[in-house]
Amino acid sequence: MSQVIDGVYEIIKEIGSGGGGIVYLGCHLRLNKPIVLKADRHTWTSSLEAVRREVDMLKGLSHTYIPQVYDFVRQDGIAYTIMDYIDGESLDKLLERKEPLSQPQIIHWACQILEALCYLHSRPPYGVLHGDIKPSNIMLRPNGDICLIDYNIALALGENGAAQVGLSRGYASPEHYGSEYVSRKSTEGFFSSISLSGRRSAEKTEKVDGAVLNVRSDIYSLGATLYHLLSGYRPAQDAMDVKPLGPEVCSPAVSAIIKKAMEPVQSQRYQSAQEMLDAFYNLHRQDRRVVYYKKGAAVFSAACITLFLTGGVCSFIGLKQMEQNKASLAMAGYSADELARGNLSGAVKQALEAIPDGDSILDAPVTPQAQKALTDALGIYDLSEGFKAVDTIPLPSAPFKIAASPQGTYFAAVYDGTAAVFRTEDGQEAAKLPVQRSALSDVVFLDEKRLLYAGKDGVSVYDLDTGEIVWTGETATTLAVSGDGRIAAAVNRDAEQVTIYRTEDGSRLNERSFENHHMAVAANDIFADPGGRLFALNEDGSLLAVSFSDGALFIYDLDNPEEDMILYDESEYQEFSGGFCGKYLAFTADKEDQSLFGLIDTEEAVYAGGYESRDKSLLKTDEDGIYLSRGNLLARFDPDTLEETELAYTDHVNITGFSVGKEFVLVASDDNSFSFYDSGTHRMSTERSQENCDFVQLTGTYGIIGNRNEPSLRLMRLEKREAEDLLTYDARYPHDEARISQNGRTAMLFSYQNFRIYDMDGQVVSQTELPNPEQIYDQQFRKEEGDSWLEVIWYDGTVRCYSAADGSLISEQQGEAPGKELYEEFETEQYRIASPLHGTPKVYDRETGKLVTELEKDDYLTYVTQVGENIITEYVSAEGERYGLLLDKNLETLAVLPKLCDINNGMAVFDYETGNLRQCRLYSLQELVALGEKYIKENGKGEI
Amino acid sequence: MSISEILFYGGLVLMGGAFFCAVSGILFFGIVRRKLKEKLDQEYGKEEHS
Repeated sequence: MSQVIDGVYEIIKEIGSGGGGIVYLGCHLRLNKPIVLKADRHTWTSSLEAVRREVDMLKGLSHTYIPQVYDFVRQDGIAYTIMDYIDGESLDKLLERKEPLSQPQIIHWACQILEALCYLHSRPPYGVLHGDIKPSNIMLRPNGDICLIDYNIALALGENGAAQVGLSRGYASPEHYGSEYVSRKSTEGFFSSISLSGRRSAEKTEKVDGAVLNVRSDIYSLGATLYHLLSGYRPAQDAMDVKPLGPEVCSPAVSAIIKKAMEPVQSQRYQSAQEMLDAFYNLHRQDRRVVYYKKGAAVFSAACITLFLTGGVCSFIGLKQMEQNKASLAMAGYSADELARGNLSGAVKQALEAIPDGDSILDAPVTPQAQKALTDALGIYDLSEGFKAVDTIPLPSAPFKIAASPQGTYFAAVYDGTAAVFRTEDGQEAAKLPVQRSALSDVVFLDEKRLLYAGKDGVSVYDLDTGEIVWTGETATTLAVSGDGRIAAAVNRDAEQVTIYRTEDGSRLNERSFENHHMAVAANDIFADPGGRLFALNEDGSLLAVSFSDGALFIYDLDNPEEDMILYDESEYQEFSGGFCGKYLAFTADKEDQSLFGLIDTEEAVYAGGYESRDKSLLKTDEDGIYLSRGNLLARFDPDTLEETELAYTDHVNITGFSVGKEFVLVASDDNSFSFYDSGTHRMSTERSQENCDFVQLTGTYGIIGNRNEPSLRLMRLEKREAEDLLTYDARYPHDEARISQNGRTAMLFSYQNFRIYDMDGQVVSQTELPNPEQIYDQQFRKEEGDSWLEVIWYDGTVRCYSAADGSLISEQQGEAPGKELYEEFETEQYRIASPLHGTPKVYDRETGKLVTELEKDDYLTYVTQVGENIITEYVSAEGERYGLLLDKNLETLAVLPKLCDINNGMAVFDYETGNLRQCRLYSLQELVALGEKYIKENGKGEI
Repeated sequence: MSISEILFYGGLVLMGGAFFCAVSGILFFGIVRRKLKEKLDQEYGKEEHS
């Protein structure tokens, strides 16, 4: 019959016994669940209260891996502890059967035990110590989890640990035996001892008595348990004798954990169950292979990120530079546009903006186009004499008229209701005068200081020195001044009368009626001046010539009205121009398809001469002569002899305007260009404009050009370049090429016909006629090893060399007749350039032989010279003009060198047909930038 | 090609290469990681977590 304890717990059978007592399987009669009853043997002799307290302590424990203690009862003098029945078997049973246990399985159990220990050790107030961890006290449940049982000798830890109460050999820590190992520093020196474990030790381990149990004791026991489970052998009783588990038993990491758990010296073990548990949790993470993997992945990731970021940075920099390049090319284009408009300072400014500072890594390298734009804007390699663009004078609106003072100190422009006066030298505004709001309003300079203008309040004289109006007369638009500057005539629009003033004080001298004749005006004269009107006074102001809208042309004798001359009372002529030259009135009268030039002797009152033509004519006069343009010819007529002297010939275009100065002539033509001619009728320069040049005015050494559509005036200035003269020769000597000898002492000017040698003082050293010039195949000027000569090759193979020093024949050879096709090769450091006569020069890389590029297609390449890093190629254009191109090492054009004839010791030499050889050095980019900045600083504005 | 173009396009190539390497690396390291995990699970059991 089964025994019932406390009326609740029925004992079914004995299931075990041990040092702590007998263990029964029972049944909770109320709950009908299996339970375990432990009859504690020690209760025979122990204090009942002590046992009760122990059970009370265990009753408070609740953990998955710890059996629940329910109750403590006493019956028949025996104390029974009632707890959960744990199904399964203890691990020692598995060990006995030598059942193979896998390492993962053991690790899993270890973690569960450690979780249980964490719980136990953390119970207040000082934790609970199991004290007897061994395989037999670990139950393996059917679900694979473990349960830590048998708390017989479990102890509530005191503040200082607990005294040992029992032990299981092999699993018990040194503290269980009442002693502990401690480490002391060895006094025998650093290399004192090396233990069998291989540890170099500067410490000595000693065993001392008086140890108390603590959590590290449980750690040791667990370590020993794991040792047994893994190896199958119980560890040595003495902790110092325990050998570490080898790789044949378990993983090195697991062996290390067990080894640390079983360290003889407590302080060297895991100090808590949590610490040992963490070590198991970190097995994966801290495995060497995982560490290597993570390191490898980190390095690879870092490399990829670095590569990506590097690529990103490079891309960003490249993109910014490309954008800057694009902007630079645009700026270079704008600079060229400004230069074409004559706005020099604007062109320089734009070119400078196309050149990056180079301070930042984002700055692209300077483009060759930008450098070329700056070179073009500065005109640094244009050493020709002539009129060069100075600036563009902006106006609020397009001009109606321009005028210049006799010596060129000032010029004036009339635009919408205003006459603006500028100083020619610097283009600065000197005065702004309100004028009649009419396109007919005139401005005439009386001298360098005073000007007569159609003022808003009436015709006035303004003094530029004092800045004051000297006098004001009646309202008038059209003005004329006598040759001596003392008399002025003024008429308002198409009024029927003219008023004569003394220019000095504005006193009214005379008035004459036109008697129903009216000067031609536009329907709306505010913006339109029909032009083609003659209104002029003679030298002393006694005669006034006037043309009218009905084709009439009168010469009024202001002193003797009865002496008036009527050249035409009425006619079909619609446009008139002309003026007085001495006693003559020269005029042109144009009607459809016919132009009449006439000369009137005003003293004799007779028609002195003239002619008709189909070409439209323009006529101007001054005290020096009569100037007439017809079609493409401008000529000066001597009024006495009517002898014609050609001043300018514009080839295939017609002259639309002109201005004749003392030494030069400025001509506008109907192809929207204007040209300067010297006194020898040589065209000095031609420039294109976007619009027709309605106004051209030469004054002193300045030229002013404008048109009725653009609100600006272009200012040009004569530049002399004598400072750059290398040599002056007879400009009449015809030649194709000019070269400087290697030693720089002579210059050879040559053609197929002959050659002439000059010394640097301009003296002719020698002159030679070449034999059979029509049979000459080619000429080349050679400079080698300090010597220079002209090599002439004839078609029959004859080769003659003439010294560049004195023109003497150095050598004469008879060679093979050259091939029909003229072919030359040039070499630089990097390139080989093949130049056939009728083909495009091709550039090959000297190292690889690959074709790099082709040079100018239409022009003939004559020479190639390496100058430093750059290359200069010399050409003859289809029009026979010589020029050079300064190229960078990538064969991009940095500068155009017009009229280039030679490179002499790094200096560019230019040949101008005016009989001058000039030279200048090649400028670096930095020098060009400095020159540009200096130009802007000195010339200001740079307005665009 | 100019230096600027080399920088720009070269940079793009580097970025593309880095991306390609990254994708390849993710695949490669993913495979290695899986195999390593299998090996570690075999050796230590499934990773225990606190």
